[in-house]
Parts: sequence; C-alpha cells; structure tokens
Amino acid sequence: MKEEKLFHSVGSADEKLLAKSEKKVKVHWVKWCSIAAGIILIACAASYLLGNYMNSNVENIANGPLHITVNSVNYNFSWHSEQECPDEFEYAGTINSAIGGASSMVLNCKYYVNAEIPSWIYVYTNLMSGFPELVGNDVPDSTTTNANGKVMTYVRFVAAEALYKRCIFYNGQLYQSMWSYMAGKENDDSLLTDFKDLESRYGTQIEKIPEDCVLAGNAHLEELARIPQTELGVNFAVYDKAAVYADPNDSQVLYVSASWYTATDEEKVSTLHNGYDVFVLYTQKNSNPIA
Amino acid sequence: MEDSNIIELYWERNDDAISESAKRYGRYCKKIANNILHSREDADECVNDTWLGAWKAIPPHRPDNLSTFLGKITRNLSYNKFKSMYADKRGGGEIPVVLDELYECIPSSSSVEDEVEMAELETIINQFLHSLPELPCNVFLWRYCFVESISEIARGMP
Repeated sequence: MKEEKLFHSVGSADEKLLAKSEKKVKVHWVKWCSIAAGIILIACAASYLLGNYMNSNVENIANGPLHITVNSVNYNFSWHSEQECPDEFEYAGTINSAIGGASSMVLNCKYYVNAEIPSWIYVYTNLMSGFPELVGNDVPDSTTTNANGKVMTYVRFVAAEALYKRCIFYNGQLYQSMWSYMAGKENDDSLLTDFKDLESRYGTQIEKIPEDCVLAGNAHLEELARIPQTELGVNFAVYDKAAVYADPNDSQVLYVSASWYTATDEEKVSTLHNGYDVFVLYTQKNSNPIA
Repeated sequence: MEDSNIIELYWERNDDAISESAKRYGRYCKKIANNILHSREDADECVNDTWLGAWKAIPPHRPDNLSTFLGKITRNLSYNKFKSMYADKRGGGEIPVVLDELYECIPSSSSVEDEVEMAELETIINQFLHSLPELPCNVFLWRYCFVESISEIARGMP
C-alpha cells in the first residue's frame, strides 16, 4: 500500500533530523519532571528518602536486573502485575532473597505459587507504584494501598528460562531457539561448547532451509513467559502464526519463519530479510525447562 | 552510561549492553511501540525484540546515534506487529489515522509501486524535511515517525 511505503520512508529520515526532534521532546519531559521531583523531595524530608534510595537502589544497581530466589530457583521481574491474586495461586511464604535494583521493595513481601505453573511466582508488593500506567487506570481503593499510600499489586516473577527461552512444542517434543540457547546459563562453558557446535551445524538465523524440509504447520502463541505444551505452541508473540518447517532427515532441528532488518555501513537503507530462526531440540543436557 | 560505552559493550558481546540499553532507552522505545500498538504486552514484546535486533545488528553496525537506531528498530518491529495483527482491518490508536493522513499525500492517479523506488522516496522526503524550519520539521517527525497524537505534539511545542 502506498501510504505504508511513505510511512516506512519517513522512518528512514536523516538521523540528524531525528536526533534533533528527539531532543526537543526530551527537554520538555525533563523540565517538567525536574520541577515535580524537586517539589516532592522538599515535601517528603529529603534525608529519609535519600537514605532509602541509597540502601535500596544504589547498592543493588550493580547487581543487575531485579530477581528473587525461591527454593534455589531464580525468578526474574517480568513487568507484569495484577490487581488481584490470580486464581489458584496460594500463599507460600515471604521473600528472603532478592538481588538487583529495588530489591528492598520485594524483600519480606508475601509470595504466591501455583503447582500447575511452577515457572511463575507472584509477589505482593508496591514495586509497580512508580509505573502507574502499568498498574492500570482504575483508582485503587484503600485495600490496595499500603500505609504509605503506595499501590500494592501482585507482581509476576518468572523463572529465567521461561522468560527468556524462545520455545516451540512439536511432535511431542520441545525445541528452543538458537537465539536464546544460552539464556539464564551464560556462564556455562559446557553449554557454550554445545551451542557453538549447533551453530556451526545449523546456524542461528538463515535465509534458506534444506530442500527436503516440509511444512509442519503454523505456530500459535500459547502464553507469554511459559514453556509451551500444545502442538506448535510458542511462547513469544513474534512467532505467532509463523510457518514451521521440519526436516524429515533430522528431528533435532526445526525452522520457524522470521524476518529481520540489517543496517550495515554498506547498506544505504535498512534491509528487510525474510528467512528462518533455527530451533533445536531441548535436551536434558541443556536443562530441565520449568513449565 | 554514555551511548559510546553502550555500543562498545555490544561490540564486546557483553550482555550488559542489553540491560544498559534498556535502562537508558527502555521508556523511549516503549513509548514508540505503545504509540503504534496501544497494547502494553505487545509494546513490551517489541521492546524486548528491539534489544535482540540491536544485538544482532551491532556489530557490524556502529550507530552514530544509539537512540535513533534503537527507535527505528522498535518502530519497524511495532509496525510489522501492527500489520500482522490487523491486516486490512484498522485497529485502534494513532496508526490508522497516521496512515490515512499519509494516504492523502499521494495523488490518487499515481502508483508508488510503479513510479518511485523506496530509496528515491526517502531522498525526496529528506529534501522536503531539510527545506522546513526546525519546528514544522519536528512536528512532521513527531507525527509520522514517532506516531505521537496531536494533543501530545501540542503539549510538547514551545
């Protein structure tokens, strides 16, 4: 469609012009937020706030993204929250191990689990108070705010593998994307060796698949941040409705259609590529995925 | 962390590149994605894919302006997602209005596919933008590149 071509072309406008237009928006945003922040600091007794800020944020920022540990499993902050405790999640204790930015906001908070979904934990916390647009537009009643007027919600923490692993379920087996092969196990040298071996054999993202490959069907998004369990189910929206190809000569690999952009120095504009993301069998060796 | 340092992290294949990008430009990219998709979950997905896209592109690419580079990836991903969700139907939000406004810019008798290559179209657009004073140029980009609503554009004007 012609308007789409124009829309795409506008996106490739001169970077200097784009940078200038971004700066103007940021300046206004920063100006008003600075004024608001100054008023809040004066009104709330700066020393108490600064003390909390130093203890909860600065010393933990170096430890990376926020995650909790429950029963020796790490669960990462997923940005998802609910106003009510989701069905079939039951109280299981309080968080006693949290690392990363804002960890103090989840320590000693109640957490809830569901045996059917072991990769998720909900923590009852005011963590999302700083992001009202993510909490929801409803004005919270008194039962959902704590003594300091912060909005309390049930924030979902997800096991790293379920959050970062791109998976597809096919023919009774689970396959994982080469892109997320090392997710959650970046320091595992043995796994890295396997990854490099698979990468040299199949690649990670390719434009042409083996000729014998047959269409297995189209993927469907089962649920985000969970390992899929239904035929051709995927857990990343980018693969929803993607064509899936199987190699009858090699059950270790699947190919899922994908598109991506490149913008190398040699390319005048960004280039769209249509090809396939490579998925390999999720074996015992590269971990037991938490469903 | 400065842009140049973040880009170096990408070149070193250091995972911190992703977290630093998210820290510095997470909100910015989410704003772009949300402007197009009007869905928190979909916007989050596109922003996460932005980091993956940047990881794939750098190296060999070394962007001069990281925010613009990431913003473009987010914009492309968000628009592709919008298209796959709505096909020929018009979903909610600003994108259908923006596309309708752009439709009016092309004479009805001409066929862009037949007459103008993408690269030539971009050249023409850049010539047009460079011919504008700063404010109208910014307004055009806020509307048709970043898909800001008219009320938000009005709020951001001096």
